[in-house]
Amino acid sequence: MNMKAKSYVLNIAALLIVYIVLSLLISTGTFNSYISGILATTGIAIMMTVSLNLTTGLLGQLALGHAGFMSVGAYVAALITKSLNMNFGFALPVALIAGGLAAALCGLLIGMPALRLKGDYLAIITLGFGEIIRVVIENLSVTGGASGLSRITRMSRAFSEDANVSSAVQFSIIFWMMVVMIASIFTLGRSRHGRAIISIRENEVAAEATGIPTTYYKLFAFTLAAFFAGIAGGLYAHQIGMLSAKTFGFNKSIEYLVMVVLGGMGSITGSIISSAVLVALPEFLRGFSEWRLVIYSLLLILMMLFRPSGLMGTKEFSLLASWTATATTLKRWLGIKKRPTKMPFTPHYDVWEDSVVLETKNLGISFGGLKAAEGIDIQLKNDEIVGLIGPNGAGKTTFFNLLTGVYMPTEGDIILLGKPINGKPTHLITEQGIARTFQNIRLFKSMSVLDNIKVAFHTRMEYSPLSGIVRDSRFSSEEKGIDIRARELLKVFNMEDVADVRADGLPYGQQRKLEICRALACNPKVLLLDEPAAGMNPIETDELMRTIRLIRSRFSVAILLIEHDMKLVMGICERIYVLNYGRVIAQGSPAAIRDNPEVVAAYLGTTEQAQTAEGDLAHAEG
Amino acid sequence: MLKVDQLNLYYGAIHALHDISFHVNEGEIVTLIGANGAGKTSILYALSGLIPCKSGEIAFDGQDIRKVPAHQLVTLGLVQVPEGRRVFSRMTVMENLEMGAFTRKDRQEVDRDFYMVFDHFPRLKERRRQAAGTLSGGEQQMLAMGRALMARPKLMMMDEPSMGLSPILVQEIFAIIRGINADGTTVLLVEQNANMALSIAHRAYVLETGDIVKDGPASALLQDEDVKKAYLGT
Amino acid sequence: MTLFLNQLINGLHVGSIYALIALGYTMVYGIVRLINFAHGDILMVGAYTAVVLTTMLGLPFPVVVVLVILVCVLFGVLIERIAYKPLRSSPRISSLITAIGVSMLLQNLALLIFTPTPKPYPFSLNIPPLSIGGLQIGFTTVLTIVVSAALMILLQVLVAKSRAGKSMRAVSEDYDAAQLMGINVNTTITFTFAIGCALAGIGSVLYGLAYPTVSPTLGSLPGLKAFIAAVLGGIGIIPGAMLGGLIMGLAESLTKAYISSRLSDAVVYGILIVVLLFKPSGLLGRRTREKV
Repeated sequence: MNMKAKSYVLNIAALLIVYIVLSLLISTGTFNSYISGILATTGIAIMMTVSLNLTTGLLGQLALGHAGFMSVGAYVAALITKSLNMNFGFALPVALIAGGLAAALCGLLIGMPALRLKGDYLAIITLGFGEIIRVVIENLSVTGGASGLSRITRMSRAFSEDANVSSAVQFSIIFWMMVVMIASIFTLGRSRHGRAIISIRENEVAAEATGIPTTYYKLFAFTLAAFFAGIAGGLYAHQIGMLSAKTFGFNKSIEYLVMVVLGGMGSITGSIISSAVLVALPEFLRGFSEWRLVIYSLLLILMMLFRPSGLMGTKEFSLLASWTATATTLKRWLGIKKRPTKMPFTPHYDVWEDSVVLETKNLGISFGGLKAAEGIDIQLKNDEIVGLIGPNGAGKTTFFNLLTGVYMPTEGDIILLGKPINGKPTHLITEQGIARTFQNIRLFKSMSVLDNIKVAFHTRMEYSPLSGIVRDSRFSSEEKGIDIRARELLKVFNMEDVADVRADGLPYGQQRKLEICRALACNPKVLLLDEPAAGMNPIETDELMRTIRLIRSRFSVAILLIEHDMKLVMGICERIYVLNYGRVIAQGSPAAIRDNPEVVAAYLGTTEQAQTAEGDLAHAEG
Repeated sequence: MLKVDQLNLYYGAIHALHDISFHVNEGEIVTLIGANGAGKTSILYALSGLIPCKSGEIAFDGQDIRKVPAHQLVTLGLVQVPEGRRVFSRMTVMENLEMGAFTRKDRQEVDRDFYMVFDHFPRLKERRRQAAGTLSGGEQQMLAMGRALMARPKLMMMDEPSMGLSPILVQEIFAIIRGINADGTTVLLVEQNANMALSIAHRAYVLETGDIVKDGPASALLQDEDVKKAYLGT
Repeated sequence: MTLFLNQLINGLHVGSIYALIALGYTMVYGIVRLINFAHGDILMVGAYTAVVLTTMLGLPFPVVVVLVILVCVLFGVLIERIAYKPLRSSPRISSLITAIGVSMLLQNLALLIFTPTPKPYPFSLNIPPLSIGGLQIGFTTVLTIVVSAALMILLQVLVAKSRAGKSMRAVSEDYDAAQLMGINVNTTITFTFAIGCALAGIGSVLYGLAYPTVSPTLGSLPGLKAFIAAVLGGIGIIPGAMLGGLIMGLAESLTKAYISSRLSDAVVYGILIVVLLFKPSGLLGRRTREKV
């Protein structure tokens, strides 16, 4: 039995033991209804925290209205069980799912406008939406208005005449739903979809430029979190038996957020531990109840002062293992046979034979009447290395931003492989063949080098989020395939040894190289490099020149680069365009550009000046 | 003027600078060259008191300044132009220059120094009412230098002044650094562009992963085979 | 018509108080990028200080006002030094959580010391209302509006012209660069908290005069609304806080009068959402775009 299998068995065994022990204690009445109530509350808090961690930890967006989604789920589920004339055992699942879906719908509707904002603004707008949900529920007659809903069937009463047995059933439902929820967030986080979500947290601009449809994934994570919160809300309603909109205010959202942060943002096991402790702690402190909240808040402050990254940071306790094992066993029981292993999935690289790959026609943009670029006509042929130079503020980076769809051109066309691409979103342009690097390096810092590359393969993979959660054969064959491909690519650049290092742990030169490597992993026809030699000394620059030559010999791609280092530009570019005041003022071979008087005056400067400077110095020293 | 002795600096567990010793004489341009991550910026940050150092001595004008808080160093005449300009982008050019003279009480002299700065950087004069964030990279570098000059530095420390600038601007900036030095300000220069730095400096130190491995007159280092191979390129 | 005008004046009255509190949020956010959730509770601290000083020591109103301001400043500065300063280089969410913790701590300590039973605010100004045409305008209302407007103008001048104001602006842009100019960053930040809390102290007196009951949770609702006001106007911008506060006050009193008192909160949040969606940086905010 290998390590992996051992860890599956251990995890599953631990889960089962916890479950069996607790449910026995409840069903025999050793745990009274008060304690089993606390256990249920803890389970629901864990679901809320883990789902909020999906938005806050994995996606990296601060949301302050999570309790709002919980209330939608709670009310919808409660109204369904109250109105359905059905056995509670059947009605409950229907109600829970309906509650989850209703919350997800709210999440979708709120997320669409709100997720355009970032950081504190997103926090505030979600706070606003959360409060609006509360006020609306308080004012609807169907939800009982301000007095709320009562006499909701309680799980701890409904399943059996024996209260202990019924409580044990309630515990089982909550426990296993919690396990499924945690496990699916866990596996999802480690699929291509999870990588896409995490890459947005790490660097949204770079994620979009690497081909990730960021808007879609933000909405996806937000909606999924709302769905889970809705289900937790449904369970809550049927645990407590009555609902009042006030319960789900801003303070409730904050409570869950505190649990996420204390556990460590991005650590799901951290969330589990912290919510368990924070639910239990106030209960234990109940004895001296007036001090309870004082102690609670002091703990919170001290925790932040002395361990600001939370209990677990972003580390995890392994549970993934057990999930994979359960899935396999389930499949065996249900008679689902593993499909014969196909060849590992191979992402394809195109080889494009046509001569002109990228062309701009009369391209221009103005910001508030000010023309930042105008009348730019540029052609790039396959396998060509072309330089773009010009004074600071001449519009070079603006031009890159036009090509990659960060800015919308106000005039002219961009034609990639014969098709116009202006107006398309960045991630589609990347998918169609323009990849770039950035002036100030933008890596997915806390992800490994290998995962940085894997994010770039995203658009050429196909498995669905569901495949990612249950880890079917499609998932494994694609993941295996891109693992091989990503390592191959790293090998080309002599970076296979650092595959598992965190990206921000690399030295500067290697970070630049990784960024180029990631751009190549997008399978581009055109590679845009924005000041790749910035901050490099001459020796590092020489290494970079070798890398660029290597790209040209190994990949079928046209390279357009912005650079101020003339040794690099003159050394490897076949043609050069010179931009000044947003217009092309010269183009041609390096030799022709070097001698062009206009370029010398605007950009290169006279070599005589430099020589005179040296002469003066020699004179001064002599 | 500046004497650094056995300086050690740590980032958490990482030992970033090992027993660094060097000095700058009055009136000199001294440059520190070395690869990325060699610790050049760390030295300047330590000198400016922005990061604490573990051990060693820093003497400026004969005074031990290791325990002097960062904001008081300016009054002593130790001023830094940080990497990446770091101008106050929402303030105007004029306001940025005023901030440079923040610690000075001699209002009339300060007013006169505005003209001195505009003499060095005529382009800043044209743009004095513009927000600093709207300037181009080269102009921002000039503003950062002008802002430092407003403090009347005895020693001006510059971190990567040529970064991201066009060749013609690099030449211009280096000419200005020579001018500032000629007017009597001592300069400690950290540069990636070793060719340029060595061509204007009097003396230089070569830094490799937290150690000083070589030092000498700049003109000699410019001819040194090891330095040529490691930092000047082919 | 008289009803409308009365509501308008009511709105300006409440709005001015929101604006004063919002100024504290906006200044602190501008300089340390922290939503200081405990700011609203400073209001509560001020109100209880007034209660204690009057009922136990029997001090006269003007002395109490001065002491209330001093106590608020002291609290603000202590909170900054103890709870926020050590976290300055940590992720922003850590200081946000700490701020929430401080807010909870203050409320619960007040609950412990003063019990949940509300106490009456010890002062009211028995000065006859002004009558303009058919309108009766309470003296407190006039006082509140005038004091807030004056303070805002003073603050604006301070930040734009004074040396302290300039160092605040420099620190808000770049700590390191500010230090390299010889600015003491710690002092500047403490000074900012002190001003914000002094305004909250004045706010607490005006709030007490308008709503004369003091309870441990007194600060949370006006705090939240003032914070929203700050965002509405453009957080970090001083005239924005004033504008945001007035809009909040007007929206609240007009909704209460003409639509439904229960929906007034929803309308307030609705306005916030609409503004954020169409002008994310607030009404007076400049649009900043991440440079690529």
